[in-house]
Amino acid sequence: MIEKARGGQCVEEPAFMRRNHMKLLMHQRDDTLRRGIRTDKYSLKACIACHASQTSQSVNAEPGNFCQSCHNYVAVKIDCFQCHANQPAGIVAQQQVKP
Amino acid sequence: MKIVLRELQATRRGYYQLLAGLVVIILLFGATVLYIEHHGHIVTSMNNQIVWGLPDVFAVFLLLSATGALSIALLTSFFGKAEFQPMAPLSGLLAIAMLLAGVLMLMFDLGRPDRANLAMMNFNFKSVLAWNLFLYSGFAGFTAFYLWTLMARGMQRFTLLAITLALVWRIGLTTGTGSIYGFQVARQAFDSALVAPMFIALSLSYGLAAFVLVLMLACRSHGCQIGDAMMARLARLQAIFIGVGMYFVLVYHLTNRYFTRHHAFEDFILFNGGVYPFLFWFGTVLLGGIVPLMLLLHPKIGQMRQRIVAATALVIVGAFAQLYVTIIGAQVFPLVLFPGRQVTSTFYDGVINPYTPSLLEWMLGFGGLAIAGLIVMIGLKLLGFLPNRLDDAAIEMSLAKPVAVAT
Amino acid sequence: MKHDHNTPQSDPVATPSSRRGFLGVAAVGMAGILLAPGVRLFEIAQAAPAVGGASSKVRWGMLIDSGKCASGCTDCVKACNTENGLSGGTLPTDSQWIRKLDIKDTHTGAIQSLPMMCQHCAEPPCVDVCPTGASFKRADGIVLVDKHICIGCRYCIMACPYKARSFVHEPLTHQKPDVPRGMGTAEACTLCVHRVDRGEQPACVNACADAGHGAIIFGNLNDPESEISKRVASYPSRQIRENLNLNTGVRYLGI
Repeated sequence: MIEKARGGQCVEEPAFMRRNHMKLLMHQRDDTLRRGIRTDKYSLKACIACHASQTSQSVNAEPGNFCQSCHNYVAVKIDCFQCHANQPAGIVAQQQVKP
Repeated sequence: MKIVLRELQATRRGYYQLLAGLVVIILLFGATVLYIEHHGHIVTSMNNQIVWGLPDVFAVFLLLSATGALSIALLTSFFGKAEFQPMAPLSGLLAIAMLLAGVLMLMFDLGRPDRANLAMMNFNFKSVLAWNLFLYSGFAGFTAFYLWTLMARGMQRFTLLAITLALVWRIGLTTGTGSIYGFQVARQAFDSALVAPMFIALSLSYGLAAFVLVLMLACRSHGCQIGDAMMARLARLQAIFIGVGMYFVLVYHLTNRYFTRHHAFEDFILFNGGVYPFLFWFGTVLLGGIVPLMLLLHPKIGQMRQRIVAATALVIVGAFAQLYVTIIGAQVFPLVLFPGRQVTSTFYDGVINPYTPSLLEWMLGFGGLAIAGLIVMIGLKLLGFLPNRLDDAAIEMSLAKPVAVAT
Repeated sequence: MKHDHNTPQSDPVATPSSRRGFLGVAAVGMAGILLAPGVRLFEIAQAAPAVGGASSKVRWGMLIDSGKCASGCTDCVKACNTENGLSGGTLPTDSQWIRKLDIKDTHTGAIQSLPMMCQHCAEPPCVDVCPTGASFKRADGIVLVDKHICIGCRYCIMACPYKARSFVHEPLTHQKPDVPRGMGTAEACTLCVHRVDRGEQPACVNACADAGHGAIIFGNLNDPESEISKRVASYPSRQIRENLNLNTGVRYLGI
């Protein structure tokens, strides 16, 4: 079971997201990074802030968390969180980067 | 009396022992790669000061020797020296084997080897490293095409085309590898147009040395004792190549020493840098240059096989010393941000950076050599690449008639 | 093989016209299958709203006054470490995006101090040498590493004349959400691009100003009315390693 997100409504329909979230991630990242186009709608931080688990505060830390639950099932390794924080900004501020 | 090329047939226990040894080394290499990929480069001795360490030295050696190993094939198929014809297939095989090993080593030393596929899809064509992908694959591909033209019935009419393509790519590849260093303005060691031609000259010497050693080892087990005249020819060729290589090293250092702003760096490499001058004078100049030349210039060199083996082995030792000094010595010496001033910081500015290769890096290095060896050994066993005889009489006869490949 | 014309064929071979028909339908079907995802992608691309973004009308730069920089002070370094989630360690394998240089003239004995970070060159050697194009210069002059395609070859680290780049040697956790960093990639000062895009200044600039030293100014070099443009027009500022002609965005007074 995928945990329910905190916010009310996702930026797109669930069916759309299931099929296309990987394409959104692939293309938006170039817009943000290379062109400096930052939108509230397609912000990875915003996704994480909504979808972080109530218990682990993360989208990736435990098997039941939002990203991990599907990706575990379909056995597709997530590369994003090697670099990206998998917790919302407020939570990270309380912790220190552990090398 | 005809020279026939066949597979390595009489494989005694020594062959299998060597094969097993190489496989063990390669397994250790694999384990090392996985370990580094999992834990990060922090487990090696490489750091933000010495970013390209010992694995790069081994990889560059393999890449230079790969292009140089093709010299015999070039001499026979491009320059028309037919007496080398029986050895051309082995030359091509060794070139491909060492190239593949070198490329694998570079790939596995990446910070993100899992992204190697991205490197093949995103290219920045201003970068020599991006060009290198095409140069490496092209060289391997055209050399394989060349071997095919030698082996396949009736395809000899394409041999000249294949070897010409391989020659162009061979020059491009070594120039590209040298330019990885020569195109960098930042460091005093590399700020020179001589680096790429120096690499070409060195590749001739290193590649031929590797080829002669492999040829003699293979022929010992295959029973194709090389004739005295042919040995003398190879020895003279090696002596010429050593001379050319040494010439470029000399000019490079002389030029660098002429520039006052490079004095500190040259003093470090040549005189007061500890292990680096030692490696340069004792390794590159003495063991890699003077001693092999003395060994090879004897009038009766064809009969003195131990001298040739010793000389070519010493050239390889000198090769590692030269590449270590070139690649690592350049990083050990600090970048000069403020000429004429002394700079200190928390980021190791202005200090000589210490570097001792870790065990993991040695394993990566030898793993690369073992991969090349494995490819050669299996290639010789499965494909008809070795001449059954290389004595002088047979070569004389073969100059009259073309060499046949066993089917 | 001899063809025996007298033997009737048991299985009728498909006639040429029906084979062509099949191939035609298959081709249309394949085209449809191949094109359909592209059509959807086009929809998605159109859907993303363009909100400004970096523009070449702006060129971000910094002016650092070495005279105002004290030799023991590391306010800028600490601020950078906190903002970007760096450990602050100084082991040979630790990343340092900004560092203080202590410089002594060997002939005269004069000493000075200044912070050194990525110089955000207009002609960056790190961008030239990156094989995948991960090291790139944004339209507004900020030089960044696209860690999505960085393969960790470390060529940019070798090529940088200022030793500005670091390599991440170990797995990282608890990165700042604004500053993704990961093992096996190259990284350097981003001119706090996440802050700049919000209209703020880099953390080092703020820290130096807040502490009252005022050694670092940040601004748009392309805007003649900005404070930095006026200063570089009035006082002789210099670039480090000027002879390389890299046209750096970070300039210094007093070197």
